[in-house]
Amino acid sequence: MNQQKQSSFRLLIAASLLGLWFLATPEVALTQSTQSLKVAAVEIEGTWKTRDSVVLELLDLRPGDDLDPAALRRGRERLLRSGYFYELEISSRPGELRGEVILVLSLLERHRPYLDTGFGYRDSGGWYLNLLSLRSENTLGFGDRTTLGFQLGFRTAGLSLESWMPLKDDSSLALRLRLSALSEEHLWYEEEPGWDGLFDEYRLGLNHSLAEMALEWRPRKSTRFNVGIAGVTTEPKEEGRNRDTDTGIPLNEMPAAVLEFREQALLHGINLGMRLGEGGIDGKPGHSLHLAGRVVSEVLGAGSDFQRWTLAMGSCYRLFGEHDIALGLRAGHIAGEAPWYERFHIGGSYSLRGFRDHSLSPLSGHGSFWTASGEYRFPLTASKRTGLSGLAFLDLGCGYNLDDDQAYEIDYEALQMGMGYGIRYEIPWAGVLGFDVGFPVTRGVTGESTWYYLTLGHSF
Amino acid sequence: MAAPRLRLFFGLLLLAVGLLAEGPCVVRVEPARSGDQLVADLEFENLFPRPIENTLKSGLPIVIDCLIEMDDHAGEDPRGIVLRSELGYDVWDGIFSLRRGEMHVSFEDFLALQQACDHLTALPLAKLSDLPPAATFHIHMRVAVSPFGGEDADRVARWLSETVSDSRDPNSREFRVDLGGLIDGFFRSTGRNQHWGESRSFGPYRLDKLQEIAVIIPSIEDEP
Repeated sequence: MNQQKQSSFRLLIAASLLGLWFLATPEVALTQSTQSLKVAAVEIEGTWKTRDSVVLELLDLRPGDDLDPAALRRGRERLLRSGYFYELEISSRPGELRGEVILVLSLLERHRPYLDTGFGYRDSGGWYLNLLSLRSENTLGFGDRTTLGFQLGFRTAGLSLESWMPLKDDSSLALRLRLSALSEEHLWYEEEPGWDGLFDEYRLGLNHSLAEMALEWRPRKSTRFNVGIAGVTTEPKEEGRNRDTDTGIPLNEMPAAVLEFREQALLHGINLGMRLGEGGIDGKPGHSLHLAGRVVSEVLGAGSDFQRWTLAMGSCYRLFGEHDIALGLRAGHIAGEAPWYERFHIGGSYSLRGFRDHSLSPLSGHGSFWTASGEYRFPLTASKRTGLSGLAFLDLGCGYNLDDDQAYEIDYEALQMGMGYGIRYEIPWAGVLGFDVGFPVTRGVTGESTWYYLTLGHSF
Repeated sequence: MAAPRLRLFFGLLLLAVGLLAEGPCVVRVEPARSGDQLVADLEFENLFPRPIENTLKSGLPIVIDCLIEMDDHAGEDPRGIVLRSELGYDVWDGIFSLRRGEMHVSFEDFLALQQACDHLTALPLAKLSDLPPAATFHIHMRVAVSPFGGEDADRVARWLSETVSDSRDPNSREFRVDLGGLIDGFFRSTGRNQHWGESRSFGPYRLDKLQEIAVIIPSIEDEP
């Protein structure tokens, strides 16, 4: 028994010495700290008009939240990129309790509007220059925005005034007002008389004017709903144009589908929209879904009764490294009697690549359509910093429900398929520019063997 | 809560003080030779103004970047290195830490950390064998002290451009550039990188006239 006691005592001494040695070594941490810093308070200085709630919403850090430098950097980036402030300095000091941090934000508000320029692309109007636009951010101090812009493009020109105003402190509910006057040239293709397989490009201009008021509700970051009421007038111009022969075509010589809606049309209606998910569309990993609907009704003073629904879904999966597989699906359906310019015209960089823009639909358009796209995206260089990536794609789809009164020699309801490759260049803090080369697998309509596209962002 | 005008006054005062206060800088450089290395003793000032000290003591990291450039008497043959020091404070253990390259040192009080950061001894600058024997050179130095992460935080510049899309039409895209910001940035060529102190130049020094000292230091493998 005494021997056992002595052994235990020696063991105890040895353990104590070992413990003392640990304590004596200053560089060795006794325990790996698993506790995180917490935000005790956020102090905001230098603001005159901006509500604290707007700043906190952008910072996305509130009292009680865990704090790490990465979250703070992201908050700082959001505050700077909001355009509300000239300068921002974030510092901190210890809170009352250990592990608590008081964040101090020193801000210098911006009061001058922005003068913007740029360029853009719309499926209906093609490429355009945003010659000059005035943008005022946070004019009233609650994160509002007003933009007055003038656009000019190959097929489009117009003026727009748009205002967005949050109705709640966290911007989950907002009001959007929009006025615009826009002229767009609609594209279609017809076979040259006497020349089998040769198609001329035709254009007919449309003058649109729009007044819209919509409510946007964003219950979560990745979920958005909108409902609005819009007054729309559309009127075709008196003359179309054969772009290849540069000859004018009077409106009264156009197909019946055009003549039916040759007068100014009132297309007042209700707009509905839903967006779920993040990523998928626009090149980022993730999944998202857009659903948009337009209900035009004589009850609202419109000259027609129809509903127009479109669906866009996108999924982007990260395979390994920077290699992604992206899948996209678009579909649309019109119920009722819609003017030819409201129907669907497929083909082009954002629907079916390998074919000319809008070439897979007749002038009177399709009443329904679907397209599906698959892309394999991969980096072109070992360094991510160059921002260069490549892609290979396969697009397929078709349109349905042609205008029954029209007889066509071409099968506009055939399944069409195109494939190709492309390159994307990511400009830091700006976006993605791209160039695609598409090859039709099926015959298409106009019969080109290759078609090229400039893109802004990803196709889906 | 202070009235809006009072808040504006104090905010502007704070920013003005921040702008007028001298930034971090190097105040003394003493180059020397050690074996095949050109080394230098450096002394810094204003690395820890009160907001930086408070930020560190609240547990958030601080990064000190020192840009060191050398060129010959004619301003040619420039070479440079960036020395990055990452500072941290564990609020639960009460230990300050300094990481510089492979070196990782802990301190039990702020003054010891400050002393270690304010004075650098025998910092390797270049290999003597890469320099002409009788070279005359200048050393230019600039220091930045950045809370929360250093270079990445500095790269978050003012918003100048972005691509936007219409939420109602996923097929629409617009690339927008802040024209005023572009013009502003063009005429203010140095940009507004608020964490960098002023650049200071030291020298000229003659390589063959430098004092020889004996220091065991890791050699420079590559010139950045």
